[in-house]
Amino acid sequence: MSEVAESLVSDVDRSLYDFVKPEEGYERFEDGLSREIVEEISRKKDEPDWMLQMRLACLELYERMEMPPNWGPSIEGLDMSNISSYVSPKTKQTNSWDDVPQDIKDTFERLGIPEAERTSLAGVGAQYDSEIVYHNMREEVAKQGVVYSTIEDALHDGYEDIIREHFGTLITPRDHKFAALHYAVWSGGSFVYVPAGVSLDYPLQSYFRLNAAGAGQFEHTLIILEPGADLHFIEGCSAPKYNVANLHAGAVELFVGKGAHLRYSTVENWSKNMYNLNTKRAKVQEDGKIEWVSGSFGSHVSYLYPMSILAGARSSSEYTGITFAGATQNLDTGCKTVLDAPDTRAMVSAKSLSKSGGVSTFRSSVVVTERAENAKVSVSCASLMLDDQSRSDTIPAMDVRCKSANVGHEATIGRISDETIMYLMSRGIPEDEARTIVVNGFANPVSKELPLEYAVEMNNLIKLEMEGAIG
Amino acid sequence: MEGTKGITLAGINTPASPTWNRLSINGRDLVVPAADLVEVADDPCMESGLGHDALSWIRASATACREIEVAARETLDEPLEVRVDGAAGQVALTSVTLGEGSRAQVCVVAASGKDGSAGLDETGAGEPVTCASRLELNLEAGAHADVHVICSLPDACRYLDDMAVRVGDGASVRITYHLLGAGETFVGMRVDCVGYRSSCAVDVHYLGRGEQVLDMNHHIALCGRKTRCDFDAYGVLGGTSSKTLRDTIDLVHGCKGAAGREQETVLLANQGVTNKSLPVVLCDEDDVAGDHGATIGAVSPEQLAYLTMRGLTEQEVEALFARSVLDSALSCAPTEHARAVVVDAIGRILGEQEARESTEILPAAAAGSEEE
Repeated sequence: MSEVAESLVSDVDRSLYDFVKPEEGYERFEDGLSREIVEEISRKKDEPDWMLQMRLACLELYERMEMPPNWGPSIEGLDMSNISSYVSPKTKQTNSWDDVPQDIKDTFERLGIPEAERTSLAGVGAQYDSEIVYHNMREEVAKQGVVYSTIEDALHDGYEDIIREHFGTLITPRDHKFAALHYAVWSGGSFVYVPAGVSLDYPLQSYFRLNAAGAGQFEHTLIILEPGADLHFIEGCSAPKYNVANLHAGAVELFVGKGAHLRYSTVENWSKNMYNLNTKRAKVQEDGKIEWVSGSFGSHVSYLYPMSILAGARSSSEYTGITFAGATQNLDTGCKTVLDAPDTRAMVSAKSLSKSGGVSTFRSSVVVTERAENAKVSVSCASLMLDDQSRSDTIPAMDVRCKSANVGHEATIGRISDETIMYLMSRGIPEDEARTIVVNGFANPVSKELPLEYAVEMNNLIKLEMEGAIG
Repeated sequence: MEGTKGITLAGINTPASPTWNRLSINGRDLVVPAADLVEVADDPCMESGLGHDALSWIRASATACREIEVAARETLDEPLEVRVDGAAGQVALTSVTLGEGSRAQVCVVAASGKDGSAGLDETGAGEPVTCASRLELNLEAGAHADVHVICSLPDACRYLDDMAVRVGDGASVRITYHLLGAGETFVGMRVDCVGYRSSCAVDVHYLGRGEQVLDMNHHIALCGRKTRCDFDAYGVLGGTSSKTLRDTIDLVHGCKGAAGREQETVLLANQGVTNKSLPVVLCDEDDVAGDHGATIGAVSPEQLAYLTMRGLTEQEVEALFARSVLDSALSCAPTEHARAVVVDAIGRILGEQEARESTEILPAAAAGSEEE
């Protein structure tokens, strides 16, 4: 049995994510926050004055705001005076991997990004610490009028008006304390614009790698789909593990026009020293559709609730997600949906696993306003406990104010039954592999929504987490 | 915050696991008649469903206190009745201990006037009259209790109902609420199934009419091994009423083999209503089963088509569902006084004709409850 277990472990490359590159020659701002740091970030990016003023106002707001005192995992281990808000390798953004510094290129090669770009993506953005180092898009996609660049570049390339119209309007700085921080020190991320009626055959992907210890990543993703557009956007992230805290406080604002369709997929594998306080929000117009596919495997503490605002009649949202909380992790994830127009539809399917003392919380809210006539909502959550050291909580809130709406919710919590394991073992499958099979089956509704490469990555992450899950 | 008119009780019905504050579902503050609050030591065995401040206020304001012990293996023939007179602003504090293997029924009836008829000004002008009840129930090994709570008060009244139950080895409790009216109703319940194979079943039925407010917090902690709980809530919301229901199944570490189930069904009978639901499962143990479900909406089109084809209007169809809550209250009411209160409620809500018809079937209803 130990020989079989060894071969299972040796199939998984432990070094896939947990490697560090030296920061020699990098520019690193001093730890902590100050007006001077914010001004310097803005100066480096040569931003318009309105962006600088927004940053400074948000810094003040951040300093005044408090985290909610009565819910959510503790973030007392996060001390902003020990976090650098800006770390940048000494390189300029390029659209050729040959021009990327070797150690950074090596990083992304190991993560499979260039290969994925060659075989199955319409475009890639790769962010290393605080800056995008590589950005490229297939020519045929660009000819369709699709814009895929950084927000910083877009501000200088004639898109300032459209960015100013949308930036910070869906996720406002007042949303919560770390939204305010994000808007003060944001750097990197993507700006995507898809013209009316344009449908991309391949996904666009952004990958975020946080290499520096004791640093924060604050990328901002802004996607605008005009009526009838269709896009699949994939987001990946990882970081090596350190003994000090890192912070990720990104923001994703998605505007889905009439009849447009956006699928936003994320496989999150931050290291287990990361505080992941990310905010994602989509607003969907008439007949539009947003699909969230989310796999959360990393971070020490996570607050992550993709939100859909169904503002147009017949708009819809789907959320499919899985969260795996292992040792030292407290992952508070879920989703929020607001149905604010007639005939809107929302479907939520969430799975969670807990093991080795991990804490997984599914937190959701469904708000059906008085305008959401004939709205229909279905929320389903299944939680699997892999041992008696862990914890799994389900906290779904519903606020329904329309008589003709129909809202259904269900949730189950349990463990892998002994009968299932005995059945598989009686057919010659070792216990640890049997448990992994069951867990993979449990996660299958999420992995089958991802492109193959990411489904494989997700299954690898599950395998990594399942090591030592016997007993 | 104190004033000449009242004091503020903080955090009424705060759930064990609060969530986003902007949803306004995490409990609320309440201004009640002034009282010298009694410092209440936290009793891990007899916590408050309503909250610490509410418990302090009830203890300080109690106008009727009773302590009852039922001897081991004794079965009480008659229900223990707690009457709360809404018009008088009564506050009842009742403690019942059931000895090993004993059985008893407890009935809490909150109504206006001695005969159960409404005696208050229904216009709702001025401050509401606040009345309350706290029931502490301690079930020793093998004991069983049936608890009925019936609230039928005019809109000029506000009712606070707090319950704390401790269930020992092999003991069981069934708790039934029928919330038929009050301007504001706050219900807090905390059941701790601490004993091996102890169990708890809770049924909540409610009607929301006019501008009534219903605010509920039910917490069931499964602490012992192989404990069980079932929670069902069913209600109809009409007028511009609002209802907040928080129900928590807490699978505490060590409760191996435990199973908890909760189910809520809400019928929205008018466009102006507000329904908030927070069904929570907290799980700190692996060898357990927990599940919950909620269904919120209007009469299904198929049901509506079936009934309207038989000559009923849509309003009459919705009234049928409201009637089901009243009928349930009538069939469950274990005392004559309780039944009279429910009949009075039927008269106020559905009309005197319906109340008379209910009276005619009362002997059958009473016989039915005796057989149970």
